[in-house]
Amino acid sequence: MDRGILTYFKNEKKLLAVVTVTGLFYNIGMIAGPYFEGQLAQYLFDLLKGQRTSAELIRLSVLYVLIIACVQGARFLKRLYVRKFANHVTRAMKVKIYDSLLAQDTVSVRRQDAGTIMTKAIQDAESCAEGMRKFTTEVFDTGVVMIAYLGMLLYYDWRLTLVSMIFPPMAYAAAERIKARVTAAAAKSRESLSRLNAATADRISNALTYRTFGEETNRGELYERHLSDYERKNIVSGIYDNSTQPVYLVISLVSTIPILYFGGRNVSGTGWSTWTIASFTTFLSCFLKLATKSSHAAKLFNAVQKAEVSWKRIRPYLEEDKPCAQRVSAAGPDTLDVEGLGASVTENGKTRTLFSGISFTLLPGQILGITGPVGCGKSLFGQAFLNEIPMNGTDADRDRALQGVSLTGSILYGGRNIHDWKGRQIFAYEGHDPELFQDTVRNNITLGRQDEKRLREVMEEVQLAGELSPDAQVGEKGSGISGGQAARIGLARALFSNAPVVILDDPFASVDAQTERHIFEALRQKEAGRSFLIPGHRLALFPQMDGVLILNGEESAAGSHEEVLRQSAAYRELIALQEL
Amino acid sequence: MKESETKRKTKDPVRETILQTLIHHAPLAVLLVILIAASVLLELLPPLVLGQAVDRLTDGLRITASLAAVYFAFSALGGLVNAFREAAITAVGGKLTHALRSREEQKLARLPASTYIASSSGSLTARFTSDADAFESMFSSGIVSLIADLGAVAGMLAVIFRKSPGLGFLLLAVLPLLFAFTRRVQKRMLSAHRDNRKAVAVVQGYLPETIANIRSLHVYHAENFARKRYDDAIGDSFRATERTNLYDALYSPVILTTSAVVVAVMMSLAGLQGPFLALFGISVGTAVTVIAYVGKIFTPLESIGMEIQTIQGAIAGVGRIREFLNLEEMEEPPADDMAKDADGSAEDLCGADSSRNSGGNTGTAPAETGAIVLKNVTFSYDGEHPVLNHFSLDIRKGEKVTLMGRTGAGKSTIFRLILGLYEPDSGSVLVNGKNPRSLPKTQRRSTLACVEQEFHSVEGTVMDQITLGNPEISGEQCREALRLVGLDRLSDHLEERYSADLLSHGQNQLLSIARAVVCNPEILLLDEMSAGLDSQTEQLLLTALERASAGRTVLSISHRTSAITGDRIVEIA
Repeated sequence: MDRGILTYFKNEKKLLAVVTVTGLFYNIGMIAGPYFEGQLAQYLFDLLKGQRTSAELIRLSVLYVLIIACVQGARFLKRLYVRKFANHVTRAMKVKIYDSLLAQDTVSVRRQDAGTIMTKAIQDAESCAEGMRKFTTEVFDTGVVMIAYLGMLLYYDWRLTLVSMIFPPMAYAAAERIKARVTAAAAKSRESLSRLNAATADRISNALTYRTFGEETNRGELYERHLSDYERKNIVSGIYDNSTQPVYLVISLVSTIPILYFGGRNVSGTGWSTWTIASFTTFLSCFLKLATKSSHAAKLFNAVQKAEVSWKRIRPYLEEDKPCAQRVSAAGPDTLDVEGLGASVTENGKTRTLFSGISFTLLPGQILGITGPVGCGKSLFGQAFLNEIPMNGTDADRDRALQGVSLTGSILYGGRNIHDWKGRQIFAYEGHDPELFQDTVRNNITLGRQDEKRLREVMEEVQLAGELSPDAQVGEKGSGISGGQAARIGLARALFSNAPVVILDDPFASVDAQTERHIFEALRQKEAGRSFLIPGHRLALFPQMDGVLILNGEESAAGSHEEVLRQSAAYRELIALQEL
Repeated sequence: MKESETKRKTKDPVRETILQTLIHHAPLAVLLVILIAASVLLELLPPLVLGQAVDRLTDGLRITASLAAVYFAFSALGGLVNAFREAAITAVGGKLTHALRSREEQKLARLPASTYIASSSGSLTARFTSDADAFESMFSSGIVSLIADLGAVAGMLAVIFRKSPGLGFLLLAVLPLLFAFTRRVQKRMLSAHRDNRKAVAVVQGYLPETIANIRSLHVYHAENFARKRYDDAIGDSFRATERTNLYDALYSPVILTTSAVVVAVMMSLAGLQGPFLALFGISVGTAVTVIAYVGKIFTPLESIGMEIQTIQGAIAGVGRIREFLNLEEMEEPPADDMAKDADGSAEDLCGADSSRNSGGNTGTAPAETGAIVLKNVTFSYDGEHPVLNHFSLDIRKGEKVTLMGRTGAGKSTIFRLILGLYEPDSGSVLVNGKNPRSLPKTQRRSTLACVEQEFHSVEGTVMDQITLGNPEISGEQCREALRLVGLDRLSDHLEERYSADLLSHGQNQLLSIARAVVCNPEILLLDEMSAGLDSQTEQLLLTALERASAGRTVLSISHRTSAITGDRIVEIA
């Protein structure tokens, strides 16, 4: 195991110390059972012959119970703490994996199949912790206890021990040989089951298609073949699965023949050692327990192996400490300067310019409307401010970006490049997807920052105050509320953040015209110190905006509503279409 | 399974399936019973032999090699029989589950279309997967093991009573207490497990949510908010696990300590001699024997608890299977039509040479009746709001008709009625003069086919997409159909596994047409193909539809396929 995984053992030192002490005590104490049971038989024997009193036997019985109770008490603690250990490790790993997800930038998270990868990582964390638990358990329950038993056997009669130790390793070797087949049979059965499951899902989800084409009977026959195949493979796998244990048992039990035979001679005084009845029964029961235990030795190796495989997969997520980003405060009102902003999309080697050479200055309190024909890059324009795609990036950056987007130009806030504004929030952004969490309205707006007064204000401004209680649950992806409510929660979130520049991508798409006007009024009056960038396709409010920007490839234009109306045929067309 | 169909109206189809399967595989079932009995018996023998050996030693005799061999033989045989028993349980369990799933599959063909539309395919699938698995585990790790374990406990108690009545009474007093303790622990564990599973599900749900909302988290620097929510959810799971840990750690030590107490009490009392010794019936050999039993008797006790839990857990799943099998079925089509559905015509179902014009058993309409006739049809999905009201439509053979009307006017409903997915509330729907549901299955695809609105891919190869698994359709027929729709390039890939990203949306639509025409159907229904195609693809689609329609009776729903609405437009109010 490498050093990384050891840190998890190290972090739980206290728990593991308890495990070690109780584990040693318990496993060495395990030999007390066979020993005392032998002694009890011996005392009874002596008692029947009149060599001991019943008081002595009772004393021995009480001692036996006490010892066993102590040993089992130690076992309880060991079991409890080993499980606590695994539980702590699982939690630590899961949180760390989650942190590594949060630390990734938006583009990486969106471009990979992040959901599947992360889910798998979480499962790996679980099986890794489970493997670590098994390893820790088996070190004691198999390793230590086997040594203890073996020592006991050697103490009683080393020659007989050697004789009886011939068979268990043979059994182990035989079981190993079968194991490959067991695994193969199990794999075949699993594959067959997944085919059957796929056939089941297919049969049901396409049931009406099959009925439409009159193919239900054929599909039924096909399904029946899948069923038979699975049944056969499952039985074979079941037989193999149950075959290792008896083979193991039978071979290792061969040793009981010499033990009974030579052990009996030992008792009658004609063997290698001189034994009492107690020695005889203790030896036999120690051997039987050792035989069972050693069959579990394989578990130790399996557990380690499994944990290692999982560990290798999750290590990248756990490697370095990525401190969770801290909440930052909003920057003060200032001028936004956009110079020569352009965007292009590269698809199948062909590059298409969406817009280029866009320059404008936005003062605090100004509202800029952005529009253009379908596919002009309105949404991308809004996202250009989010630092997700590097400005003037390399080809590698372009290939990495979603849909092969690249951006040129510069964006300055208060005369400083927005990249250099680390630690202060400039932009708030609401996209088409309000990105709701399955939580209360309050938490969706505040994202955990407490300010009830401001919460009430923004809910008023977006016309939600009378409609939704802050404590209402929004449901999964906002399934408990309407689309318009979801959009307005997103809007409220943007306002709540106090960021000086608010980008609202088509915020009124799912609200009615009257609500749209009310909200716009509120932005004008209550949020007068902030500037807004509003890409949208509903143009009713554009005449009232401080500036209009039309994105139309090389013919993009910016200015007041009237100016753009004069300059841009495309804008005139859009306005005419909406009968404004 | 044939018998089951005739009397499937009996109350409990699950029990019926079990009985029939067991009777059908009687030798295996009997073997299982024998193996269970033998394993119980063999479990009892080795300690008895051991006791005898010890008694010989106390009497100053030697243990003979043969006695040692007998001990080994019984132990080894016990292990073997246990293995066989487990294998037999797997086999019988597998047969039962197979039979149950077969029966469920047969049920699918008899469910009305409305059931499929009303219930999610996921929930129906669960009847076949998780619920059937629950049934299997209820049988193998529930009922059968329960019987075996009860047998083991009873057997050991019987021997103990014979050897040492005192210990027997002692155990009778202790066992119920321990069993109660076992159940209590198991119930607590179960509830903690449930809480944990719930918490884990919540934790899992946060991942996709975080990924979907990552932009907001970054823009608003709210990573801590997400992290805290995640950590809280993990905490719930953590605490639930701590609870299971406590019970899990506690159980076995308590049992083993109790077993030590029982042994100690027995030995102490036996040591008092006099009447007690007689009561405990103890020789040294017996002591060794019964100590071995005491060690063994607690193992099945724990198993019994688990088995009860398994059965309890599975009951709900089995109940859902029973409900599914008792779902209301479609009414059988009229009997006289059924009689015509003879297997004799199977040879000719879809062969390349079964021309539409060969008449006879392909069910060509008599000249005087239309290919599709809806007479005075009234239909509603819910029994209240009729979608069609006394609607009539007569389409002659070879005619091409287009249905027009706004959304919800009932265009798709008319298709469903013609396809026999639904029966009209009143009036009649006839295809070639017959109830569409009583069209012989073997002639169905050469009589009537439908190009569905969406292409539904099926499991399997590219060819399976066209044949839908019908073994009678040849590769040559598939290639011809592909040529017809202009997907020739797929002809060389028929045997390849189909995957959704193999073809574009438009190509999938073309494949859908190939699926409909592969059996050269007399009547073709064209549903309105969903939008989202570029004009070039749309052109390809129109060409394919035009070619597919040539020489057939065609009923279509669409504005875009107007190119082929040669004859008549029917406006639906």
